[in-house]
Amino acid sequence: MKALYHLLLYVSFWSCCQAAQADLVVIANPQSGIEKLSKDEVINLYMGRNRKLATGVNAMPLDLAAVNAEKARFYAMLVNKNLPEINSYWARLMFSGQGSPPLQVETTDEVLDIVGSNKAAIGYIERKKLDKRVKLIYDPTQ
Amino acid sequence: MLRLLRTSIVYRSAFIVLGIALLVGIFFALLSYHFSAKSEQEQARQRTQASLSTVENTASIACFVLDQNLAAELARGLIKNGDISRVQIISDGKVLAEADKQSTQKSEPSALTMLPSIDASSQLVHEVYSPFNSKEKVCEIHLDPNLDFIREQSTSKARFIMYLLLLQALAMASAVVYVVLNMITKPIKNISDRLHTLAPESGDKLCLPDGNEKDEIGQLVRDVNTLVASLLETLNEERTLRIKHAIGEKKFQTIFENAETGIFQLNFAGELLSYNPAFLRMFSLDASSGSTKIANALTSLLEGQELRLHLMIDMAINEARVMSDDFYIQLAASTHKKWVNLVISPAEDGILQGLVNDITERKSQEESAKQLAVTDHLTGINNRLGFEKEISRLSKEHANGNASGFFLLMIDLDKFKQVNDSHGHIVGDQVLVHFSQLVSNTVRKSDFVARLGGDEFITLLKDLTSLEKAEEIAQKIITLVSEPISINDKLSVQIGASIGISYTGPTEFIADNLLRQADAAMYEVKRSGRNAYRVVHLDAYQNHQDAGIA
Repeated sequence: MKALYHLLLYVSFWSCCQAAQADLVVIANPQSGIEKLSKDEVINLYMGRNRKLATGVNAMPLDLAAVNAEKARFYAMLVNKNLPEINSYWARLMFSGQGSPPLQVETTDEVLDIVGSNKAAIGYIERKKLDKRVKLIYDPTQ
Repeated sequence: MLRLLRTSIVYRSAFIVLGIALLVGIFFALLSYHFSAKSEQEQARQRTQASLSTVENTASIACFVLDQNLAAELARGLIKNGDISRVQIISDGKVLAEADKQSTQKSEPSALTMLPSIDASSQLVHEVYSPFNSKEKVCEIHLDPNLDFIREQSTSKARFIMYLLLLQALAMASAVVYVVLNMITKPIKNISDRLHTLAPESGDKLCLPDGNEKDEIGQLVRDVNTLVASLLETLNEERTLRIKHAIGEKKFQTIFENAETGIFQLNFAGELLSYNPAFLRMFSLDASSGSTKIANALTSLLEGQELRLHLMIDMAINEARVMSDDFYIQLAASTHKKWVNLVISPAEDGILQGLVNDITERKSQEESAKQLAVTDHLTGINNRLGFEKEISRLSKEHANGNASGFFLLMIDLDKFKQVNDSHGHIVGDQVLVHFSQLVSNTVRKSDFVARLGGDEFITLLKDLTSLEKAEEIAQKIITLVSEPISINDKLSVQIGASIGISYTGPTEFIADNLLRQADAAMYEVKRSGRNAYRVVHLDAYQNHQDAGIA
């Protein structure tokens, strides 16, 4: 019975989030020199493990402020954690004084602006907001 | 200390209980040390594990981003756990962070290494995985257990248990001491003190100690009382018996002392062992004279008769019979003989009991009766019976061959009948008395004189072999008898004597022949004119003389 309940929960969750995640993609500047990133590479960049891109420049991952619904969806998709967990994670690293969380911006539009103008910047947006200023480098659906 | 252990039940039992309690305590202390050390180690492991799981998230983050600060912070956190002596966080073979306990006190292994099974090589390695990928190992945490701490912990626990056990042992020992002292030793001490001063003869008894009336000590006291009472009773009986015995003894002693009969004990050799005063009186012995003299008094007094005494003793012992015999003794003090009757009966162990009675009076009565029988009432010399006894005695002596020859003189008075007829019997009797005195005075004392009857006399000249001597005596008698005998102032008579003499040598002889020959010789004298003597039957004398010459 319990097993069945778990299964149902999982199936419903997966179908919902699949749909939710499906519309978030990771983008970079078209001149960044990056074609594609694996999920692990995205995680490493966003969770502060890697600070440099494959091209050797310091990466500048962009995060949304907590008010954006996309943020929670992004981290759920990426590392399967909720925002308090992510906050707690960064809190520890900040305490040690070594790590710092990604730069936070207010809106998806700002993300598009910065990525479009900065070769080192990467960010996540809803798929439908993709435009020519940016380049898709990680699509979770693929 | 040893003396106390030997003499004091309290000390001994306390010592033993304490010893046992200590041994058991030490055993259980060691056992508990062993187990508590193990469990302490296990607990230390669990505590370490718990610490690790607390920091696991942070560790995983620190390792994920290789954050040395965070890792070092974490290591410092871990090292605060007392069970851990060293923390290393190693990522990809590189040490990310490290922390060491500045162990101020080095372990003192002397007391502790002997303690068991603290696994010194039990370094704990914990693998830490990425927070985002549970399959990706990001680092390892190496933990060294703080052995000293664990040891100290378990030792202190074990020590605590040990102290408890020792305390328990002490408490038990003192409880035992208290119990033994109050329930056993004190009552026993009281009893023994009472016993020391107990005067059972005045009816004293041990009193039952309070609280012990029904137990073994009470039983002991009752038994002692019973024992004392029965001993006392026995003692009194014994005493009464002894008094009775003493009275009886005294009676016998009185009898022994005052008896007129001599009572004595003698041994096989005839030596006196004990005697009563009557015995001493009887033998005129002085109690103060030397004991050896008295011991040998019997044999020395019976000198010459000791053979009979020894025969009596032998028979009394060998045949277990009461022997009795008469002995005569010549006492030094008085000149007269004493006759005693000795009765000897065997007692035990070769000792004989004897009784001695003075029978001198009886003996002398007997003797005088005998004497009377052989005495002529008128003249006081032997009568015919006396002569017959004498001659048969001599005949026996000669037959046995231990004798010498003798002369027999047969004397017949001449003219006695006329005296008797003319002057009466009284004068005749006087003449007979006169004549017998005359003859007795003429012959030697050892010679024998008898009146056979009427005016017939006989004389035996003993141990004489000389005919001349015999004839001389015969002649002397004839001469003396022919002298006038003055009866009173007015009357004087004269008589004569005819004597026949016969002789026998030391050989055997026939008494009748001797008499007959002498008689015949005497009648020859009478026929040939009286008042003379004749020696007849000289063949025997001649033969003897010849034999003597040859």
